Amino acid sequence: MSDSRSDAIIQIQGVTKRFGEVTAVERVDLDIRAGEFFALLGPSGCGKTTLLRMLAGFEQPSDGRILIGGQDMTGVQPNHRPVNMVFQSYAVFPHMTVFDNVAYGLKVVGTARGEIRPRVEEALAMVQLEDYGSRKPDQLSGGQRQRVALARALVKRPKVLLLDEPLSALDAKLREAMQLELVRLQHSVGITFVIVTHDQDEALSMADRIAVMQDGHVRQVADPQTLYEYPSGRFVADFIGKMNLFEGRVAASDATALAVEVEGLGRIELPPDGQAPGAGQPVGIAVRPEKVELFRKAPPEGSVARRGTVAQVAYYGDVSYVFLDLEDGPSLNATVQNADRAAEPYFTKGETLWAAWNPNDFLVLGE
Amino acid sequence: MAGLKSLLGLSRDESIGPLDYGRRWWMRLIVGLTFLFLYAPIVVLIAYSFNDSRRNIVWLGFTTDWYVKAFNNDSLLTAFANSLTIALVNTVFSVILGTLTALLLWRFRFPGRPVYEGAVALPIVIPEICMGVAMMAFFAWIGWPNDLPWPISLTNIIIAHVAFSFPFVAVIVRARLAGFNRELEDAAKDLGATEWRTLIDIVVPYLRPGLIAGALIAFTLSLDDFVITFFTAGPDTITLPVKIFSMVRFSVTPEVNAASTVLIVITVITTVIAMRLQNINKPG
Repeated sequence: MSDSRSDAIIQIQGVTKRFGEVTAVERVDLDIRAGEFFALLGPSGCGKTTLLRMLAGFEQPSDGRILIGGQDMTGVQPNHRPVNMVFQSYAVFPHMTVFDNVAYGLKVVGTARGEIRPRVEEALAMVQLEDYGSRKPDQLSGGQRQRVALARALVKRPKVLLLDEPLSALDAKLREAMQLELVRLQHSVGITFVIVTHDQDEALSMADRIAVMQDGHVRQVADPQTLYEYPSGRFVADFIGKMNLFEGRVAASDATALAVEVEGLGRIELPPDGQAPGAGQPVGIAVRPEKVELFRKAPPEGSVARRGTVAQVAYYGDVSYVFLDLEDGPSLNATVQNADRAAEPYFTKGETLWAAWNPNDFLVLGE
Repeated sequence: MAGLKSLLGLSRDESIGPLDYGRRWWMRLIVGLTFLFLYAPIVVLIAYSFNDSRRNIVWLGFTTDWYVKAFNNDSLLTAFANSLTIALVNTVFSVILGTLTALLLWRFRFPGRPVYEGAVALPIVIPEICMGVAMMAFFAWIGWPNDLPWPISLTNIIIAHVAFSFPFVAVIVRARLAGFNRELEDAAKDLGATEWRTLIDIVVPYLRPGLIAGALIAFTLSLDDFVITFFTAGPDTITLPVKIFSMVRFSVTPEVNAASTVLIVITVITTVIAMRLQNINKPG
């Protein structure tokens, strides 16, 4: 009974964590599979770091239990858990050299002297710090310090590596490079990575699966594409990526058709959806900005099309965000790929356009 | 002439930046007078320790005889040995007790913590004379024996010194701990260290500058303490400051100056080291 799912290395079962009056994590059930790159994503204060600290053993659940590799971790201290952590501040020991930092976790548990050196050297090679063993942490850059923290955790050969906002202290360019490097590293060592982040791009680009958290609850667990294209609710839809959300009321809902009366957009026919609320219920419908196409002439048949005036254009080089005021009130954001260098003129403020999108791209979001 | 004028900051034709007030003559005068006020007595004391005269009034010539005489004065040497013994033992106990106190206050939340914190700092603000009288009354009340063999006989002075110097250590160590990144502690435990190993391997090395600074403060406080020692010392447990005081009561000879100078030199050296280590304390 200790291991119900053979591929789950971490099983979080009904875990709740209360700090006095505050409930940081509430009845979370989550399985993390062996060998996967798993992300806990959410805004600050959503409980993701508390959940990670419970995995590491720095906090004990108020309720429920956590199993790692099938072993119940209740009451097991951090120094006896088969997990290691990369801390947000990296927590590289300032009074030790890089080599001693990486060797510490082996020395402190009495690893044989002859075994320590090759293992430390192997770990340093893994993060490309072979020549930095004798340096002190204050002689390293932020990125290098993070590699030390990684090597120091990986040298322990944990079952799971926990990473607490590992990239938040790095500048944008280095952060992107480290995202790729972490994924490469995870593939090469084959250890399960659990990363905590508030940055959706980070989670989407690195993780195999993501748990989106809000107010101590897990709102959705899915792979990045499912999360982006089929968010389970308003919070996830809004938190992941950009979204045009319109409020409306279901006009008709049955097995063959779904129609929503949207303020400012009128009646919109959607593909039938078994899970949509019944007629008369309030509902939100949403469409991603990159799924909205802009036309100067009349758009093709079969799409949802509305006329609007360009209120603002934000140019980002690769893409431009075009903000439209639709004729009947609501505003709409469309993302335009700047794929063609010679294309001109670009959309300009004040121009009147057609915005069109496929009804299949609508998301129907309940309350 | 112009060069001298500008050296003294007397030429007014140059404009002065906000941080350049040190170039104003009146600013230099104030600074000079302050130093004179602070250090003239000490300079006179040291100068007359080399005076070839029995009296401290007229300068008759340079000699180091008074130092030789001081070093041949057995009771002065005994007092000096007492002072050093007390200071060293006091340093060890104050550092241990002060560090534990700082760790307790930093690490744990418990009912009455603010009260405890205030109570620990009390010996720093209580007038020394009150501490001295209190100590004397306390040892009399518990019936502390006066006929113990040396160095056990110094125990009551050491207890009194630890009582007023460990709070200083606690304050210094506490300040150092405030900059400690708790994730370092978590990281050590995460890597397999027990509480004890974490303390020894991670926390103590981090605290080291604070521990050394605290030790030197405790050492100097104990070495030159007069008031509290005066109330707790017995006839056979005289310390150097108390001895110097008793010598002065008979006559102020340059021998007293010489002994005082030695005490000043030791105190200044340890204080300078302590201040330097305090600067290392700055985070970064």
